[in-house]
Amino acid sequence: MASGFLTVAIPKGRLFPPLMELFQKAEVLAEPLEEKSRKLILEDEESQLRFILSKPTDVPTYVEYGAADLGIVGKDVLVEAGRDICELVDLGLGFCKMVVAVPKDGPIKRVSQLGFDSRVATKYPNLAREFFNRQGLGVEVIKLNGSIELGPIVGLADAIVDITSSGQTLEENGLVPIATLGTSTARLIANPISYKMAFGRIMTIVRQLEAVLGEGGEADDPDLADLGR
Amino acid sequence: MRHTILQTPRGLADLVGREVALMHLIEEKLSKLLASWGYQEVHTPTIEFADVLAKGSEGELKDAFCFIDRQGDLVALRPEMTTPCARLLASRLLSQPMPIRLFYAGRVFRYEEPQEGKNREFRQIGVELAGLPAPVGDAEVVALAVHAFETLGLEDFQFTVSHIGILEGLLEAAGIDKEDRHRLAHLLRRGDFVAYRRAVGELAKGSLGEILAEIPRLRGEASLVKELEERLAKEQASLGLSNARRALFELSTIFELLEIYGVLSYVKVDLGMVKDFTYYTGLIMEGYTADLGYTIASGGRYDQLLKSFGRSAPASGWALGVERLLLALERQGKLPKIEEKCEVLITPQAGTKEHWPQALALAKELRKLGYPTEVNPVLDPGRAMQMAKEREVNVLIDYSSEPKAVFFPSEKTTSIEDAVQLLKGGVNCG
Repeated sequence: MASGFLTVAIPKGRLFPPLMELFQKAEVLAEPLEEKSRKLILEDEESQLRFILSKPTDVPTYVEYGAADLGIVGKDVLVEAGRDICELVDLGLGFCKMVVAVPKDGPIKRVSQLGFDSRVATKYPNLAREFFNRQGLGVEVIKLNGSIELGPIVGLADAIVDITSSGQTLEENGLVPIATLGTSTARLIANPISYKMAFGRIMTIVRQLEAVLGEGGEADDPDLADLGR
Repeated sequence: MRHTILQTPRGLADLVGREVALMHLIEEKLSKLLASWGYQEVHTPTIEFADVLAKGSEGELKDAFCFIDRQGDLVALRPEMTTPCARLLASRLLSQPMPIRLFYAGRVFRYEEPQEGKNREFRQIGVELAGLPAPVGDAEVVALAVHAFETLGLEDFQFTVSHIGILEGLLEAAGIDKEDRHRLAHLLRRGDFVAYRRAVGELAKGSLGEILAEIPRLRGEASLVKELEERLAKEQASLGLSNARRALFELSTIFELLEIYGVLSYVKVDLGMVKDFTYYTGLIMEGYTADLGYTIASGGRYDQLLKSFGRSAPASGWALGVERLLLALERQGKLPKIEEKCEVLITPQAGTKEHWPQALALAKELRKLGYPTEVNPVLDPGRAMQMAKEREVNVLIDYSSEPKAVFFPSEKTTSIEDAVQLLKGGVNCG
């Protein structure tokens, strides 16, 4: 851990291209990595970095267990997973809002109308439960793994909690947001022991990234951190 | 909850044979070391009154297994050993003169989400040094922790230390109220440095705000403490900083002593360190290796805890997790060698008393020589050979037909007398 390669868990999918762009701009990497290659582990000799390509939701797990020293993952996934990691830098990428959405023409217009007999479908059951509990709303939270928008359409749920960036997918499925749980962006995270043992090397990467990131803009909505443990 | 009668509750596990032997071995090594530094071993009860244990955590017992005993008292399985030791120091050990050095090795119980390195029942070895104030007591316990890791042959390990008064003093000086101080400490403990820095940005301005924002990154050699001392001396509001500066000074004198102890190279500063237990009043410390993603040792100074039991005295100490230590040693290939003794199987014939006197007399003799010896009756020599192989013994002494001895794995056969001579001479098995 302390010498040789540092292992970084990075998410496949929509965050990958802007992440490579950022790494190159910050000179963390000389050349961007190719996502298309079917390899799950990529090594970059020059920077002495090893990348694990994983599902976004698995990134906090790799990092907590020390299988990866560093990771990049959305705050939404991070808060939902509630793992023991250090969160070092807000990369500002992959901005999205976590919202409560309901059918446009349905009877529910406000969050407070969701009661103990309401069902909420989500990929983020912990976050959703925490949000409703704080308002004393004992809704039933149903965990789905994808196509959350289907929930209200087929009568499985009265509302959904999901991330949205443009609101387009919600609209296409006849849903409107009625509340925001918070906002999310991608974060650089570290295993707490790696952060201590490889502090110098990790701080170099942190400073390289911060040099090109500048100060993050103040969002109108609260960071999802406030809904954390 | 549905479970089968073969399951144990979540987060609890059985240990068998070699696992137990390894645990004994490292606990023995550590006990010897701690005793050699003048620490006396204590055993405290597994179960204590809940309000006793709660003294260690501001009256809260959130991670303990609690239950009500038959007299209606709320009791709990101890989640840590420091509070029971404090109770002991203020009760049965009340007449012993300070300083008092205690050590313990025992099981503790915590109701937390089980995962690798985090079980609900685990073993801790630890020390409590009561009656020696900072910096002397702190330096001794940190140095002793370093020696504990060294004694076990652990490599690539590090200790980080801080002083609880540094962050607290800085936050106070910045005029941050108690609720926000708690929130910031919570964010640091959670490792959410992004949210911490944002919150500090809102709560504290100017150069003090800058220093506070840097806290999670103030990590490194002892010189960092001196640097921060100098920076604070230049601050305009230096009067309000007297608590933080006093804490920094204490930490730097601890480092001076650690240099004399010769352990400075193992110890770093980490000013962003925040601890779970609320009883700490000064030094806080953690120990870990590069091979394990979580801390192995943890401790600090708790000058108010004994007072809450009615015996005012400064104290400091640490505990280390034995299972975690074993994991770290295993990953480094440094597990202690378990002495391999020739194992002997003696097989008298089943159903008769013939040869039993010789078999039992021989077993007695071999056990005295230190060879683990089992006596199991068999029906015939074929079964004796099979049994010896199943049980992976080194020597079979078979009385089930013609008395003979067989050595494994060579299967060399000798007379029993020759085998006994060989064993007496200290045969090498393997």
